[in-house]
Amino acid sequence: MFLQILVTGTSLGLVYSIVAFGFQIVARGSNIFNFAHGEFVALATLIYFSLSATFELPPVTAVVLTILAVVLVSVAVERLMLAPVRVRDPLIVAILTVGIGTLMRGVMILMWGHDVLFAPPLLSGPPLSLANASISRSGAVLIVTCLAVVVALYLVFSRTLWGKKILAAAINPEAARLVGVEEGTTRFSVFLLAGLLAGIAGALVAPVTFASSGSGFNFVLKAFAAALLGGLDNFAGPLVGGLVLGLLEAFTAGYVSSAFREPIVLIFVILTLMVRPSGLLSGPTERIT
Amino acid sequence: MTARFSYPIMTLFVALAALPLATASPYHLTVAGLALIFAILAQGTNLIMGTAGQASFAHAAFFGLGAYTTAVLSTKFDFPVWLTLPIALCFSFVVGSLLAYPALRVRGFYLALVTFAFSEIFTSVVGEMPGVLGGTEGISGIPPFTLGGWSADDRMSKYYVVWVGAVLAYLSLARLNGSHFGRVARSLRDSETGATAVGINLITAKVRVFAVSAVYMGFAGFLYAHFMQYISPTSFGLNVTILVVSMVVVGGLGDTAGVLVGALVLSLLPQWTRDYVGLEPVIYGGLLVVIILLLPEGVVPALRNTLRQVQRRAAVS
Repeated sequence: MFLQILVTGTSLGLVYSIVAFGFQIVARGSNIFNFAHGEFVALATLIYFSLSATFELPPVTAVVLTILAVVLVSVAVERLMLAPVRVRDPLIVAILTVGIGTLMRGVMILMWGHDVLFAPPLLSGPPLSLANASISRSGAVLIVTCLAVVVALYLVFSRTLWGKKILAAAINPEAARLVGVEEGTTRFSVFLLAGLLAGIAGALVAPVTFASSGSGFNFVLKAFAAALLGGLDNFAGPLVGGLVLGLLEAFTAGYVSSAFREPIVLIFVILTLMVRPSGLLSGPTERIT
Repeated sequence: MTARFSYPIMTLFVALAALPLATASPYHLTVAGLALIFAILAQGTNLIMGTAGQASFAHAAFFGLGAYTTAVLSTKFDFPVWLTLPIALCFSFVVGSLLAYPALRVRGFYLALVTFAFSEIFTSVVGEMPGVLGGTEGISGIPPFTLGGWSADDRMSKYYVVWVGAVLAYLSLARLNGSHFGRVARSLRDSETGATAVGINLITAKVRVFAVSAVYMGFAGFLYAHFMQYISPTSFGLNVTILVVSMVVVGGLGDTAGVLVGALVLSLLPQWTRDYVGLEPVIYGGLLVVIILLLPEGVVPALRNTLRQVQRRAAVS
C-alpha cells in the first residue's frame, strides 16, 4: 500500500512539476500570471486522444504532433492576444489570461464535449511491478520522460544563450533590455517553452489517466500551488513543490480521505505560504509591515 | 473615479423599479432580480479588485458563504430571515478578515493563488458535506424574505426586496468610495509605499478592505438564497468567478457606477444567446479578451469619455 501510493504520488507530482515549470517560466520571464496555462495541458490531452484514438496514429507520432500543435497554439495566443495588449498592470493582464483560458475551454467543449475520454496507452503490455507496487508501462514512460525534461530544462537555462536571456529578463528586466534582450522576444520564448511543457505533460497524462475539456482548471491550480509552494524564484521550486503536492495528494487520498483530499492539500498550501511567504526553497523575505 | 449618485444611475434604478409595470412575467422578474444580485456581487468584487487593486479571486466563495449561512440557518435551524441577515453579514465580515491575514503575508501572484484556493476549498467542502450543507444536491426549500408577519411570496415582492438591497448597496458603496475608507483603499492600489509614508497602517487597511468587500459579496449571497429559494455548490463555482470578473472588467476596474452597468448588461447576455447553448464560455472569454485588448479601461468609462467629448464639441460650436 505505502509503496504503491509512493509510486502514484511521484508520477502525479512529476506531472504537476512539469506543468508548474511552464507556469513559472512565463511568470518570471514575462511577469504574466497565466491563468490559461492549465487549458494548454487540457488541450494537449484532447489532441492526443483524437490523434491516437480517432486517427489511430502510433503513440510516438501522436505525442510529437500533439506537442507541435500545442506549441503552435501557445505561440499564436502570445502573438495575437498578449503581444498587442496596451496596459502594463499585471492584474489586468492576469484577467486577460482568465479570458483566454475561458475562451480556450469554450472551444474545447465545442469540439470535444464534456466527456471524460480514455486514450490508448503509450506502451502496451502488462504493468511493471516492483516489490508490491505496480505501474503501467505508460506510467513508467511518464516518470522517465518527466525526469528527462527537468534535466533538459536545467541544461537550457544553464548552458544555452537562449535560456540565459530568459533568466536575465526574469532577474532584471531593465538591465536585460539595456543589453539587448527584447521584452517581446522573451515573451515569445517563454510561451514557446510553456507550450512545449504543457504539450508534453498533456500527451503523457492522457494515456495514463484521461483526457477532458474540463481538466484545465485543476492543472492550473496545481501548477500555481506547486510553483509558489516551492518558490517562484528558484529553479528547483516547481520540482520540489510539484512532488510535495503530488505525494501529499496521494497520501491524503490513501490514508485520510479521498473526498477531502483537494481541500486538505489546498489548506496545507495556504498555511505553508503563511509561514514561508516565498515558498519552501526561498529564505524568509520582506514582510508587508 | 469616485461614484456619486449620478442622474443616469438614478434613472436606471427608477426604470428597474418600474419594470414590474411593464412585465408581470415571473421569468423576466427572475432575470432582472438575478441581474441586480450580480450587480451587488460585482460591485463588492470591484471594491477589493478595482478600487484597492488586490488580486483577490475569492468572490464566488464569499457569495456562497452568505448564501449558505442564511440557507442553513433558516432551513435546518428555523431562524427567522431578519435574524439570518446580520448573522450572514457578520460571518462574511469575519471570514473576510481571516482571509486577509494570508493576504498580508503574500501579495500579487501569491494572493491570487490563496484566494483562488479558498474558492476551490469552499466548493469542494460544500460538495462533500451531504448532511447540513446539502452536498452536491444543494439546499432546497429556503423560505422567501420575511419580516414580522409579512412574507415575500410572489416574484414581484421578492424582486422589490432585491431592488431595495441593490439601491442600498450602491448608495453605501458610493459613500464609502468618497470617504476616508475609499481614499485609503485607492492608496493601496496606487502605491503601498506611498500609503505607508503618509501614515496609513497597511495591515488595518487591508483587513478592512477585505472584510468590507466580503460583506457586500455575502449580502449578494443572502439575497440570492432567498430570491431563488434553492442553492447548490455549482452556483458558486468557477463560472461565477469568471462571470463576475467579466462584469468588473466590462464596467471598468475601480468604477462603481460602471461596474453596476456592466453587471446588469452581462447578466442579460445569456438571455440573448439562449439559442446558442454551450457557447457561454466562448462568449465570456472572447468578450474579456477583446475588451482588455481594445478598451482596457472598461466599456463604460470609454463610453462616458466619448460622450463627454461630444458634449464639449457641441458646447464649443
